Amino acid sequence: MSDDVDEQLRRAMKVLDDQVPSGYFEGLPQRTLARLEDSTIMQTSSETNRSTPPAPVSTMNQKERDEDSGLHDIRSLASSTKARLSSRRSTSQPVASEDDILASSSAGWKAVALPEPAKMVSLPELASLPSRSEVEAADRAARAQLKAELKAEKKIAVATATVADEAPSASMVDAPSIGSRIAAKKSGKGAMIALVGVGLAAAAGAAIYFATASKDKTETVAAASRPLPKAPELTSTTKELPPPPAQVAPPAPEVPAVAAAVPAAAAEPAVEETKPAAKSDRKEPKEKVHKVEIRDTVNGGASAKPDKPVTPPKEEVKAGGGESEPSFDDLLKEAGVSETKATAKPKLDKKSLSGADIKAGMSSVAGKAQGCFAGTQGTAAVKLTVAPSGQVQKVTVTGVFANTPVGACVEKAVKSATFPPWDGGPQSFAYSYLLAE
Amino acid sequence: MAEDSDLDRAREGDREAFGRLVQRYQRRVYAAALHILGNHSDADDVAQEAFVRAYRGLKAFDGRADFFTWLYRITVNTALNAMRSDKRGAALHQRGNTEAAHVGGRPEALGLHAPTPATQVQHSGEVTRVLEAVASLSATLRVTLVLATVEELPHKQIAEILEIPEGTVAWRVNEARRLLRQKLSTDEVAAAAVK
Repeated sequence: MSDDVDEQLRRAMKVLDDQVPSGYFEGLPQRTLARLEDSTIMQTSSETNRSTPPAPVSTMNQKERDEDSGLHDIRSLASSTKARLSSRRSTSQPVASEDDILASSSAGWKAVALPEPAKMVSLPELASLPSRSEVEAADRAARAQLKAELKAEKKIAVATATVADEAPSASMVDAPSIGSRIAAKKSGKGAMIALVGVGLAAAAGAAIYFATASKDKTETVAAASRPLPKAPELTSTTKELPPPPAQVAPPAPEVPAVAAAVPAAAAEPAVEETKPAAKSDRKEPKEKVHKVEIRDTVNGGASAKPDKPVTPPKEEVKAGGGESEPSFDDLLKEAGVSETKATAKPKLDKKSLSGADIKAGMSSVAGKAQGCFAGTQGTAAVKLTVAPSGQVQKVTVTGVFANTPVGACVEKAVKSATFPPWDGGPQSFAYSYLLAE
Repeated sequence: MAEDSDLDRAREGDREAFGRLVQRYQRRVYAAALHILGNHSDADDVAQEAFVRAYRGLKAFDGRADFFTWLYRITVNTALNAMRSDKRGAALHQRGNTEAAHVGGRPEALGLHAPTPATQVQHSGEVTRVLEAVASLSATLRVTLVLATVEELPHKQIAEILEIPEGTVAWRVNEARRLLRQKLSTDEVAAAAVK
């Protein structure tokens, strides 16, 4: 059937092939090269600035003419036209007038180049201008008026200065309003600016004074509420800790007394001393750890010899655990967890179903599937997914028996198929049964 | 090998060497274009364009694939572009057989003349029907069918040319055959009814 169609197709194509004359292929390389030349010329002409006219459409075009191919005539015409246009564009000088250039320029540029007409900036006529004497008189009058205004403003400024001296606190508070008044009056500027400066400085000084005073107060309060320092070595660790009740009880702020108390405290059992530290440092829950820390801090350096050998806390914990309790791994081993894990999922050699496995599995239910034949002959195409356990997960019957009782019967039959288990993911494949008598 | 040396020279810009390569492969390239497009003028255009593109891309050709396979791929892609751009292939049967015999619009350029009555009769029969049926296929199906059936290339090579899996090639060939058969049988029925 397919051969018949193929044969028909080949015959039709052969007819097409037969119509190609023998001479066609003799000219094809030349035409191809000419086309290549054309495209190269077009590329270079577009790449260059078109300052020079592109090379004449080359000798290849002459050859094309000999071949007398219509395509090449059109191509040569197109390329020559292009060349002419490009050369004209690049070589021809601008013949347009400046007006034309301006007209073609942008509106913004025109606005810059061409200002408004001269009417707007022309001088008035001489006849309408005032005489020299008139101008001088007007000038003098203006000066006299200005002097009078200045005198009046000075008087006001002196009055405000006295008011400010009498009530400095008010001037400090009201400084901005004075400043604005000064600015409004524009008189006695120097004096007023100095006044305002003094006022501002006073205000700043007062503010700093209050700030430092309040700080001192808070510091003294904090100092009063702070615990007493014990010894210079201990300050770094015990400064923030609440003092032990026995030592804090005598309210003696003197350092020597505290220093005397420290050796006594050091001589006491370490557990008692480290209790406050343990309270403050909640990350370290074990007492042993604190013992070590405090001894190091108090006795300081290599001279300090603790009763017990000092080991890092973690190691100590591990060692303790190793001595007294079995490790977690040991526990697991004892419980046999790893062994059960190993035995629970044995690895299979088979990684996937082979063709033979599929064939065997499907053949085992072929009888059942073919038993579904109910008078209609045809192929029941089956798509199925098999789990790694070898059980059929999903079956779909496609083709002519899809969604028919026969299809359902085949589906049921295929579901009962079993395959050898393998190690991997589910596998899907298609299979078909010929249902016939 | 001569092909290799020509290839190397062409890669360096030697057009004569490239001309020799064109001469070597022109028949197969042209035939492929003709079978895909179904008419000579378009096939001529596509064949030339394919060679031009190949020349430009020679420097990028790394030699991993066979040169012919690479050239074929360019030809097929150029033909597909031509078909998609102006539906040349689809309009095959509307152009008539006379135009199909033209190259560059001027049959005399090839020494061609108007088709003989015998040719016309031949064309108007089975060939026309088959060409029409092929033209009715989608571009991808048509190309795959032509490469497999007419050019008789193995599926592996077709897969390489079209850059698709072999399974897809097989499916496309079967689907194209099915549609072609369907179309031809419908035409036969229609022709019988007319008679």
